[in-house]
Amino acid sequence: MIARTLAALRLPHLPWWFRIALAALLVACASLGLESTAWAQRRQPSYQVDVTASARRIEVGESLELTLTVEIEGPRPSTHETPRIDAPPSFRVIGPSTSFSSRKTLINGRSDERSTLRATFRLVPSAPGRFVIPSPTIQTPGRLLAGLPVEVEVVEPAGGSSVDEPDLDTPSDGGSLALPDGPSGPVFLRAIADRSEVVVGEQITVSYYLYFREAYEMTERTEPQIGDFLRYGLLTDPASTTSTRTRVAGRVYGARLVDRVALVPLRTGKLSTGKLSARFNGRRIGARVLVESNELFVDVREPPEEGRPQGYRTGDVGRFELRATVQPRAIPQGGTVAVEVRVEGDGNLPNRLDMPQVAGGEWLEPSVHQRIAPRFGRVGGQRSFDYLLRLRQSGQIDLGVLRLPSWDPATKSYVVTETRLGTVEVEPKAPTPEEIARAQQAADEGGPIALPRPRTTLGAAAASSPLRLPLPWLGLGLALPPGLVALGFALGAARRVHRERLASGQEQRRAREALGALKKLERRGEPKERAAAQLRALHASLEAKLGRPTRGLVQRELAQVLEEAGVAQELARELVALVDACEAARYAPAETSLADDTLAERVNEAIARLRR
Amino acid sequence: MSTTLRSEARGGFAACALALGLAVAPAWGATEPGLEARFAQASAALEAGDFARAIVELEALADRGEVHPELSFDRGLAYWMRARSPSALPGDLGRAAAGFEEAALLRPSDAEARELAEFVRAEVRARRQRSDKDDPIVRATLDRALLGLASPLAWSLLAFGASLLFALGLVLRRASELRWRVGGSVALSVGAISLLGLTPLAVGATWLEAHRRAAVVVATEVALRGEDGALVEAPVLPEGTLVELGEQHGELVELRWGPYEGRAPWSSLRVLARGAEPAPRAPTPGR
Repeated sequence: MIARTLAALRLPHLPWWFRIALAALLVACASLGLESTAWAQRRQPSYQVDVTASARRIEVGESLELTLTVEIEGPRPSTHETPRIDAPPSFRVIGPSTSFSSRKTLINGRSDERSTLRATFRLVPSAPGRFVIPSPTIQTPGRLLAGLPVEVEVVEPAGGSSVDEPDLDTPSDGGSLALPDGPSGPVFLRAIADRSEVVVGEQITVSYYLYFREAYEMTERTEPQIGDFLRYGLLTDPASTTSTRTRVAGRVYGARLVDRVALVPLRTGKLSTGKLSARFNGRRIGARVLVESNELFVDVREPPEEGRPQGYRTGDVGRFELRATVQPRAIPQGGTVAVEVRVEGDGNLPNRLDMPQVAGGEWLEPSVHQRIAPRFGRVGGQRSFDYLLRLRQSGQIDLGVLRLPSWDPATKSYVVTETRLGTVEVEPKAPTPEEIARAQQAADEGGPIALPRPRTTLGAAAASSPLRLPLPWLGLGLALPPGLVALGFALGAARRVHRERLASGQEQRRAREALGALKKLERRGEPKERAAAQLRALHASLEAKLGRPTRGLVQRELAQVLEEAGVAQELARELVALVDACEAARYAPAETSLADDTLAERVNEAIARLRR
Repeated sequence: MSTTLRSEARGGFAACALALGLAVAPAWGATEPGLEARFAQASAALEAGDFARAIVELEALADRGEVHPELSFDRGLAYWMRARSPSALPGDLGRAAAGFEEAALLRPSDAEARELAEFVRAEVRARRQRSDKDDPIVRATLDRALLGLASPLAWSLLAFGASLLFALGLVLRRASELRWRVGGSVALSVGAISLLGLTPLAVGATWLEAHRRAAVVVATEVALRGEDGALVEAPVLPEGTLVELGEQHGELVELRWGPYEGRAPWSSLRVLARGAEPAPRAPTPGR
């Protein structure tokens, strides 16, 4: 198709890579368009409309509750009009009262939003007959939502009914709630227990019904005080219950379930479930009228002693499953294994377990995790016990069987649930002496270990005190080797200096003698002899300064030696030049360019500078 | 005048009496039964289950300054027997632990004594646990653990070796040949580092050996106090705890238990004999 499109566009002359790129672009745009279309479709909210009536047959003067429920998949409409109803003229319309609820879930980055709109109309007929009540409607942006019409039969009022009778649902189970005689007030609360005799730990379900024959508003509900029971709420949304019609002492009442709880008794005796109370407002009731429910007493006993298994703990009632995991199965001696025991089932889960006795084992206090909640009207869930078991004996240790006795109220009998914990391989550990472990265990169990026999003969005498050097001697010993070496170095250096000084003194003496001879010859000597004396004086002074013979050195070497000895470069050059000049004057006086006096003066000056 | 003479005469008589007493004293000592005889009596009593008599005999020997591993072992055993008897006294388990610890200290190869000391302490722990008293695990500090790895003499010899190596390095670094100079540099570095590390250990071990003694708690429990007498923030020392003893301050003595330091009464401790040195006894209160 893309190729045909390109051909239609007369683009076959384009290079192949351009065509591929263009095709990829087209595919991307197409998929983006499809995606956006799908997204737009997804984002378009869908509606599901339902209309329910609280009754199909009512008496004149009774009120009919008509509820329009709109389930919206998608975002809640930004605007909507107030729901309307075109009721038959013989019906008085009260309301509507509307409520909006929405739920937004985010799964794997994809959000899912659902909203529910409820609009409830109260219709009070004034004439008998069979009526088709059209569905309430609601206008949303671009759409009018409506459900199916409802057919209602309105009959003449029967005897005993009140003109201002409250809203009632179909009396489906009104019979069980009916009372041959009872309170005559416009509203009252009634507590009903599913049983009156239980054992400790067995669940009782108590339902609280509100009986009413007037329109009411219930406020300030106070839960009953039940210190002798564990309480679990069974009714998650009390507002979701519907009312039913029943009779109390011949009068029509509405009855609505306002609460239902599961109670687990914690002790024996005749225990009170307390009173639920609330305040009511109403035209014929009054303002803030306090109404209390009846108080129930439950006879709580212990399960029968007959057939009671060993280790049964009062309160462990229900039907449970027991699972245990042991990790690891191989440990070093003195180490621990983790034993996780999970108790699961319906009933009052045990608070603690009797772990089996393990030879050389010590059960540490467990950490307990639980997830207990009512399920289908019954309390249950799971409770995990995380134990650590320290094993002090080596070998293959059998952890035994864990038993959980419980009372099953369904069968009225005791049940013992078991699980085998298996074995653990404990490797002997050298650092922990087995005797110490046995002693600890014996001491823990209250049985002291056997005493050793006394020693009757004196063995080897006591070991002498550990040898130790006095601290001054220790310091001396540590300082001695490096000290001796340092002393040797110092002595060697001193000897060298002394030797050098001695050598230097001889050179100086030689230099002085050479200078003395030079002074004598300056007055009466021959030029050759004077040059020789000057050369000797120069070499003697140089050797005194440098501490080494200089006669065998050529000019370059002499200059280098002088510079290394720290003689100024200018003086060094002068000395080298003078040595050269003196040698020349000594061996070829005719060729020397320097006058005899000048040479003598320069030699004297250089020697003087050198000696400085 | 006559009064002066009389007083001089009394002084001379007293001096004579003192000299006579000193001369006779060794003879009295010689008449007492010897170590072996009294030990035999004590061990026989112990075998017969008469731990009370054994304790009297063995404590008398200890008071005489007799130091021997077997004496300490049997003394520990006697106190352990009494601790399990109806006539048990507070601190008996501590004294039993002290006896076994002393026997192990006097003869380091005596593994049984060391093991029994641990047994006694395990019994103390169990008894305290039954009274809902939990004892913390206190470990030796790093310096004490290091110093305990070898004897003071061993540390001193090692330090001396490091000093020799250092000196050798100094000498070799002056050699004319390169290989000797390199060897000298290595020896100098190793010697210097070893000397820096080993000298504190040698000095510390020597000082500890000279100034510290081992002792065992012989009271039910001991709380450490500071110089001002206030309680130190430290767990109480259970019976049988082996501690390090420091300077004495009247009826109190400085001690160290793992990282904790403080003072405790002399009477709650039993100092262990070491080598041929008998254990010093606690001063009598009031003196």
